Order: sequence, then C-alpha cells, then structure tokens
Amino acid sequence: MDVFEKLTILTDAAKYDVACTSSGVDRAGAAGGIGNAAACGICHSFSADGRCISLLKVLFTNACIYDCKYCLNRRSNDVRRAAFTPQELAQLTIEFYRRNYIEGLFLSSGVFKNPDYTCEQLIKTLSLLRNEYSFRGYIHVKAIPGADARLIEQLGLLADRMSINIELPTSEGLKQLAPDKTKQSILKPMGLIHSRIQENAHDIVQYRHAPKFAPAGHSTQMIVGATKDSDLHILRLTQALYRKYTLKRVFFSAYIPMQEHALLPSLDTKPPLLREHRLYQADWLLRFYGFDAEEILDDAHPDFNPVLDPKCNWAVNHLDQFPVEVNRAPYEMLLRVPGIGVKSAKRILIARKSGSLDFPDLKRIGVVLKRAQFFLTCRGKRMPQLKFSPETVVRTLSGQSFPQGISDVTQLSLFASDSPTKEDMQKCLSGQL
Amino acid sequence: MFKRSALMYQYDKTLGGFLCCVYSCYQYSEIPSGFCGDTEAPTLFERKEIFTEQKKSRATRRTIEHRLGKAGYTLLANAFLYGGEEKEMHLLQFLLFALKTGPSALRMRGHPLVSRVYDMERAVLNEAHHFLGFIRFSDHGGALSSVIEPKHFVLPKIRAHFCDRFPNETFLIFDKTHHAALLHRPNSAAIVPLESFTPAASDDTELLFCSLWKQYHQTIAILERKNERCQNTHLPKRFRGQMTEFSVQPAEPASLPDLNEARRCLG
Repeated sequence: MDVFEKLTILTDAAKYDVACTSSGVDRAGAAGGIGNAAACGICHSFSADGRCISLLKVLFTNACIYDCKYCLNRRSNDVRRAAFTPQELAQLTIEFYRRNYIEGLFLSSGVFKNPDYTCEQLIKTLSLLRNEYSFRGYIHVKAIPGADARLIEQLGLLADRMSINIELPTSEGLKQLAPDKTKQSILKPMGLIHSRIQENAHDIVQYRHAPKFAPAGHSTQMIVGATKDSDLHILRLTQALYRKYTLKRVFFSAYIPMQEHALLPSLDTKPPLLREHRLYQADWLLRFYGFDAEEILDDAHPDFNPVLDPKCNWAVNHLDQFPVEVNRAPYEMLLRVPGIGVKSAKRILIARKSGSLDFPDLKRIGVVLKRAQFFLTCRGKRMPQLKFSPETVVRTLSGQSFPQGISDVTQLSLFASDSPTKEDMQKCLSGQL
Repeated sequence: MFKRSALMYQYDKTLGGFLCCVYSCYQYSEIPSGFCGDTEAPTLFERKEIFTEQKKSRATRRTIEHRLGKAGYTLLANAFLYGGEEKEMHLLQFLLFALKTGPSALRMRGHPLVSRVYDMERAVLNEAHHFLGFIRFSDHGGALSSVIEPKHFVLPKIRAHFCDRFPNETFLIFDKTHHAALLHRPNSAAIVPLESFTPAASDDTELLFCSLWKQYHQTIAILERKNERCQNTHLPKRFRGQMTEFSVQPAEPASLPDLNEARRCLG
C-alpha cells in the first residue's frame, strides 16, 4: 500500500476528531532546526465543512482491538485498515510543514496489539521528528488510555498538547456504547497528565532548562447527541473539567450517525449542529466571560434556547440588571452585555479614560450596537429612537426583523398577484382601469 | 495654523518619504490636497516633489516617538502598509490631531480620525496573520518559492515569522500586487523590489506532495457537515488563487504519483 492510500484511509478515520487548534505555546525557531510555534495558533486552510485545518490530523493506524459502538474503527466493522511507519509519517509531516501546508502534527491512533505497544509507536514517531529532524513545530498527541504511566510521560515530553477523549458525557452512556472503556480508565490518565503539568510548572521555576511537559496543556472531546443527556449536564461536566483538571479546551462533536445500532440514534438523524454551536458559545462564556454553568442553564431550563444565543438569553432573563452605563460600568458587567466582547470591553476601558463615550463612539470602537443598544446607556441616556420592550428585544436579538405572525405579509401592490399583463397596461393607459 | 494648499505632494511611497512629507507640512504650515507616487500619471493639480532625506525623516520619527511614544510610531508604521486609497491623507490628519493632543490621542478609540487609523492597522495585521497560514511554498531543487497577491503590503509583517520558522531554507515570497519579494538564505534576509517572477515547473516529488496535500484537504472534510458559507467566511476566495489545494492546473491523472517514486521519496 503506498503513502497516498495510507494517507487517505488514515485521514478519513481521523476526521471526526474535532480539535485542530495549534494554540497555547510560543516557541522560537532555532538554527539547524525547522519550525516554531505561535501561541495564538495559525489556521492554514479551511475544508469544505468550514472547519480549520491547522495540523496534519491522521491516525497512526485505524486497526483497533476495541469495539466501541459509535466508532468507525471498531474491531467488528469491515473497513480497510492501514498503518504508517514512524519514518513515513515523520517525513510526510516535515515535507508538508516545509511547504507551509500545516502548523504541525495531530497524532492519534487506534489501539493495536495493546495500549503500550501503540504508545511506543507514537513515541518513536515523535522522537524521530523532534530529535532527527529537529522539528520545533506544534505536536498534539492523543494519550492512549490504558498505557503505562511512564510511556504517557515520555509522550508528554515530546508533544505540545495532549488529549484524552471523554467521548460520552455519562458513565451510563459509556457502559452502553463503549463497553471496553470506563469513566475511570479515561479520568485516570487525565488526572495523571494534569498532575504532571502542575509538577512541571514547579520544575520550570526551579530549573530553567527542565524539559517541558505538554506546554500547551491538555484538552478533551465529547460527542453530543449520541446519548440522551441534557445540555445542562454537559455544561456542568465541562465546567468541572476546567476547574478540576485545568483543561485548556473541551471540544464538542455533533454525533453523525454512520452505523445502524439499536442503542444509537437512527441513521437519518441530522447531526445536532446548532446544539454543538450553542455549547461552544456557552463554553466561551465559561472561559472568558466569567459565567457559571448554573447561570447559563438551570434545572428548569436544562436545554439551550434555539433562537437566542446563551449570552442574549441570560441578558433577556435578567433585564433588571440592565441598562448599564458605558462610562462607569465595571469590566465584568460590560462583558455581560450582548454585543460587547472581550476586545471591545477592553477598548472601552481604555477609551473612556480620555473622555466620555457616546453611541457613535461605541460603534467605532467595535461594539455591535444592534444587540448592545438595549442594554446600554451613554451619559445616562438610552440610544435615541430606541423602541424598548421585551418583545422587540427578543425579536431583534434573534435576528427576526418582522414580528412573528405577520411575517408573510407582502408589500402592498397595485396589482393583485401576477405582474401586470399587456392588456392591463393598455387598459390603464386608455383609462378603462 | 495649517492652511489647505492646492498642491499635491509627490514622494517615493516609502515610510521615510512620507515622514519627510509630514516634515514639509509642518515647515510650511500647509496641508496638501493629496499625495501621489513618483511614477503616477499627471493630474490637474500642481505637484510639489518631496525628496526623501534621512535627516528629515529621522527628525519626524523622533518627534512622533517623543510626543506619542514608541506605540504611536508603531501604529503609524503599521497603518502605512495599508493598501487603500487616501491612506496618506488619513495618516496626516491623524498625526496633526495626535501631535497636538499628545499621548492620550492613542486611547481615543472612539474619535473618528483615530479609529480610522486603528482600523487601517487592523486590516494590515489581519491580512498579515492570514498569510502566515495561507502562503504555499513549492520546492524547486531545494529552494522554496511562493507567490501572494495581498491587498496591503504585508511582507515586512510576515518576514520575522518565516525567517524564524525556516532558518535553514532558501526561500522567496513574491508579492505580485506590490512588485516586491522577500528573499531568505540561511543567515540573511531582505525585501527587494522585483518586477515579475515565474516559478519553475514542478518536478515529480513536488507534484507528489501537491497531490498528497490535495487528497488530504478533500478527505478531512466531513460531508454531512458541508458548509460553504462558513468556509468562505474564514478563507475568502481572493486567497485561493495561489493555494495548492484550490489550484486546478497540474492535471491530476497525469501527475498522480508514480507509486515507485512515492516509495523512493518516503523511504
């Protein structure tokens, strides 16, 4: 089997992993080596589904000893199997990197033979890259659940980011769909990576040249829509993961039905893309906007509002806290205004030091007034000609310009429905009509 | 008090030249009606040629740094790379305002003159950041080359990144819009004017990696999630002309990798 075929099979098998970020670590290049890393991450292309391509995302092999129901690579599935050799994969990465196709490598793998053996193959590939080719670009590697702690440690020293997929948000879900995995087998290596990163942070303070363990942190992914979990449940779990394991990111992947099974949603189910989108919006609120999972959703409303994004939804339900005065409100409160993001909130703080702000100023600063207008006052006054009622707010925020119910009203027309015929025109001209 | 002049300033389109124009504005207390380059076709306006003198541009730079700080000068230098019309006029008006107001002018993001310059800077930096990812090199006998068509003059902004990334490579990035090129050899780099550049024909190894990359790009997409609008937002079509994965030229069947060649290449 040639490299072209291998790449096709192993890319196809890896594409359902969502994470493709190359962020979190700044590393300068070095003479004699190749590559560097930028903390902001760099997108190199976008695929037809609109997702960023930053890393060469492939499996080392798609052969697997496990039989997880939702997974394409499960043992019982009849698909073509392939495996790279460490040398092939390292060279492919370097050649892609030289041409600036990619920012680095995202390496995951099915488990073949046993977890330890798989892990050793990954280590071989990464050490080829890091040591033989002096590669200083980004590497994201999946920790193989069940592998020996020392092997995980070695992987972490070679990679920038490590991740372990939680896959399903509940242990019942896992029991049903991934009988070979348990919550414990996933959380144990995650805890291991977490404590190793903490230790390493301590080491680096003491010894400047201490080798860095996963300097870009670790992340995880869960599938949304394969089991019947509420959004609140997923969000609570996400928050707990951020707090307990100091994860850099939690990724969500809308479940795409690919196989028939009594326990899985039927094949004609559409992937819950809107739900995934809302989860990411809420995830942002948790990480950057100082929100708490319980504020975004609660037991009375365990699922997201399909029309309003979580931030607008919160604001509409807390109208008593608004409007806020742009020229005096604290940063935390500005961040809670729909239409103001982290960047524009910071700009407001700077700009208002040298003079009070009015609505046209806000627009130039980059505030989305269409949403923010309902929640702000400038110098104690609301936006001129603002029609404010809870209904108009919801309508504008959800992007419906016409009130519901009369949206099928068309513009008044002189002629009943069809465009005027020639006869009509003649009649009109001759005064008969 | 500055008076409006009917003159047009003619200069060499460099930042140093522009600083000399600013110098001249202050010297004669006048605001020109416009700016033009040395090679532009004549218009009805009378022109005044401004020669680029290092002494004057340095003095202007010192004044700006003294009055607005290093950040002020960086903002000006970044915004100067902007490719739109009237950029000199916008920068001049900003400078007249900011030099009078002092460092607090940089914080007035809501002020029309100031926010316009910030927007110009942002456009330049955003495009430069795009090109960090969207540039595609092709290998011709060990040397890498790339062609870009940016709106703004981004080469100075991407130079450090690529020189740091590929310290051992010899590479060239040709800016088709501004007729300039970034040349890099181990331990030396320069941005030079270059009228035109045509990359050599690709050899088999190059075609192999092109087709591998195209195949990867196609395979990684999840068809059930196809979303052309999202793709267009993130990767506007103007970038795609020079990107390997969107190019159609090398006829695929003819260049489909020779399997023996592939084995040889990848050990």
